[in-house]
Amino acid sequence: MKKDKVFNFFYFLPIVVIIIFVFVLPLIYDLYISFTNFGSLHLFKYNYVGLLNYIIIFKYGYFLDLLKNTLIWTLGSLATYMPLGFGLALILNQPDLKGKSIFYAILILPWAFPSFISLLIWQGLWVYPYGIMNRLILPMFHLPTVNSSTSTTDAWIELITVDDWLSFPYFMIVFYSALQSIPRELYDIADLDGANTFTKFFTITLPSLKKTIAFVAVGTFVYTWNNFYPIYLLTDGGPGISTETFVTYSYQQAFSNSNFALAAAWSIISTLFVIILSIIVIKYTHILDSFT
Amino acid sequence: MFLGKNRKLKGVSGTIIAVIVVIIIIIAAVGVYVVMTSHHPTPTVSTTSSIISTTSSTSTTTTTTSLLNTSNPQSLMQLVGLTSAPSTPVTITVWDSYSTTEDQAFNITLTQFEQEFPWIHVEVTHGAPVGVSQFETAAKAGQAPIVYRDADDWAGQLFAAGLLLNLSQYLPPSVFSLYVPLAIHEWELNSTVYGLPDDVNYIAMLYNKHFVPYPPNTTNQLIQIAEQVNKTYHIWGIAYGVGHDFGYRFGDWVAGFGGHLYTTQNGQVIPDLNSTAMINALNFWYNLTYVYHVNYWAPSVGAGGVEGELFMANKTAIIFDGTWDLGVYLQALGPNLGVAPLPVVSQTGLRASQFVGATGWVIATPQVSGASPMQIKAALIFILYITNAEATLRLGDIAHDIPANMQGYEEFLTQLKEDQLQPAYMNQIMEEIVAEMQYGQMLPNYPAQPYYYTIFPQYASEFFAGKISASQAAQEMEQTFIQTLEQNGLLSIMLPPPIPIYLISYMLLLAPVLLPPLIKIRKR
Repeated sequence: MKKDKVFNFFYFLPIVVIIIFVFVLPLIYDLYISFTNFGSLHLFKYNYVGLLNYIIIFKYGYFLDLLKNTLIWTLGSLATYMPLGFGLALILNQPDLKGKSIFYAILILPWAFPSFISLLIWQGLWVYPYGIMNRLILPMFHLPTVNSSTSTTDAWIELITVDDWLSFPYFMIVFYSALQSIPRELYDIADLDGANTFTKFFTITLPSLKKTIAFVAVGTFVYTWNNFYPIYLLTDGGPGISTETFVTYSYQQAFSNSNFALAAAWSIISTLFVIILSIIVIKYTHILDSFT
Repeated sequence: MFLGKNRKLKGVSGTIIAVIVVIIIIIAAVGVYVVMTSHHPTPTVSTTSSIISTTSSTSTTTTTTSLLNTSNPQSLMQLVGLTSAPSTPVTITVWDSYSTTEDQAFNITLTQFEQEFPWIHVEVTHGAPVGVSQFETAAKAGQAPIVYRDADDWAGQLFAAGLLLNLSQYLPPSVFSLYVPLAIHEWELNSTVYGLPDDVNYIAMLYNKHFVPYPPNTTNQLIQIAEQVNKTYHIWGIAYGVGHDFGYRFGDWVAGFGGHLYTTQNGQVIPDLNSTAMINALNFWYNLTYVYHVNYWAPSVGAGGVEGELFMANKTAIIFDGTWDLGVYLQALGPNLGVAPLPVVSQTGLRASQFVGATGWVIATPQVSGASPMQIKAALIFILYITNAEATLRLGDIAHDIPANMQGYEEFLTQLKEDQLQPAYMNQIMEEIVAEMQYGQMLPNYPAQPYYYTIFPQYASEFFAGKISASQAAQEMEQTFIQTLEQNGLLSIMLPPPIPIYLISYMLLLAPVLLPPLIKIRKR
């Protein structure tokens, strides 16, 4: 019996090794260099400097600005692309919808296209006032034009819209799959009881998807928190640092200022936030209960 | 008797030992001398020392010229201390940051180089970026390229970090006199040379002759012309690029308003961004954009950016772009392309003075590239060859780069004077470009210059977005620059104690008053 238990452990070994090498060791190394002066002037011989980098962050480092920006970016994106994906999934899930596979194929396109290329195209589309968004799309809907180089609000609108475009297909697919797993009989019984669409949605659909929504929300929260390219390519953190997040600022410290130790300290702080916020969400939504 | 014989023998052996020691010393001295002279031979042997004494005699000068002919394989090998090609081939890795057009010239030079030096195999990575980050990452892994082409304002940081070879230790000073003085000076730090320049570059005022027959000479004229263009053709008078190069380009205007990016205090270089000149320069561009409405803030710079696209699409009359993009604009505008120096700032009477920089070739230290001594010699030969007169002139002819090699530069000027460039209007354009160099200022190769490039746009963009005033922007960019220097260990950091000392003093003083009642309360 004991021998079996030991033997069973070997099944886990590959994933344990991968986690150690891909996640734990880099994290420990990151933590270690955040306590040193590792940078371009100390690339090979760096010394332990204690909490200096963390003191620098809280003394000079726009900590509250970056926290606010990171939250706007993460929550702003989550609050828009999840309902968008969910709404489209609900539409696709209609049994009487014709040409479902065509819609599905079209809607999945933004996800199938390399996101880096999409971002470069979006960069051109948003150029004020020449890009197609400002010249055609926004005026068509009687919406004001967007100039991300002079307005922080415009910069966030631009970023979150592009992120929505890049991410909604993922949510649509996940929610569509989850919707299809809800037994059809539940809706038939509700129909017999005379339930209307809203009642069915709030009593059958939403409770059935609760765990999927929570799981997707936590995973996406972490992903968006660390999502780097849209900001880097579209606004480069500007105007000023008004769209700079922990990740983009950490990148700037590492690769523009060559201060790898300070960048490591920023990334540790960012990681701590992600871990704490994820634990809170997991604890209150019980999303991992089904896995244990 | 035996004793006496022994003493005698001892005396003889002592003498022999003394003689042997003296002989060893003499041999060692001769050996050291031979070794020394093999590295620094006398002028009669026609090697490096003859290079140094260029003015001593006519015969020496002749030898020098032949030795310093960096197109000549034998001379190059002698310069690096090789008498013949090694028996085994040597491979050097090269990161080339040339544009596609520049690569056409480089590839021809490379082919010639490999024919001249069949024992050197060159592994080229085309399209490497200028800057520090990728090189540093590769260096940390011990896999930096042996040879790298970088920009002068970035490479200073790499040299200060000890990642680049000090060329002054490997090449005689007279080699450096082969280059345009300003260009080679861009590759010097603390009187040591760490790179060999290939082209000189700077920002020029580019205008479309269709809209602007005569270029403005002053900023007042600039505004007048831009307004006129705006009214007549309904296009932008100016499109000013504010992308990643924003700080580099804006330094020109700070000089025009009488300022500098840096100043020296107690022998230490410190930022000088919080100046009236910076504030006035910021306000000048703000007014052009939001008061006169003649300038368009182009979110990306250069021929591939919005700035260049508008210029080529006849949507703006004037831009301020680098000489490196001339080829693209020439293709688009042909004879309509005009080039002029940056205007004189009417307010100060000073010309906006563009940064004159030079791209160049550097060699990584063996610690970061893992290069052997023979690979270093091959790398030295390579960078000398690739920056020789012929190679840099080729860059000028094909890619319109201004040669940084003195002989190449002079030959380039001769070509311009004799109208040898085709199409013919190119000669005038290039003559104007070359003439503009006189108005330029040295691009600081201060190792912390890259920090300025990230800090300036941060506060300038906040100013142009109307979030802060020009004086706040100037103040904050200087403050942040100093903080960044402190954070990176380039200025001593002055951190306050975790709890201010006065607070601790107050607490200690108040403790006898505050604590007893508290204790009483707790007892209750």
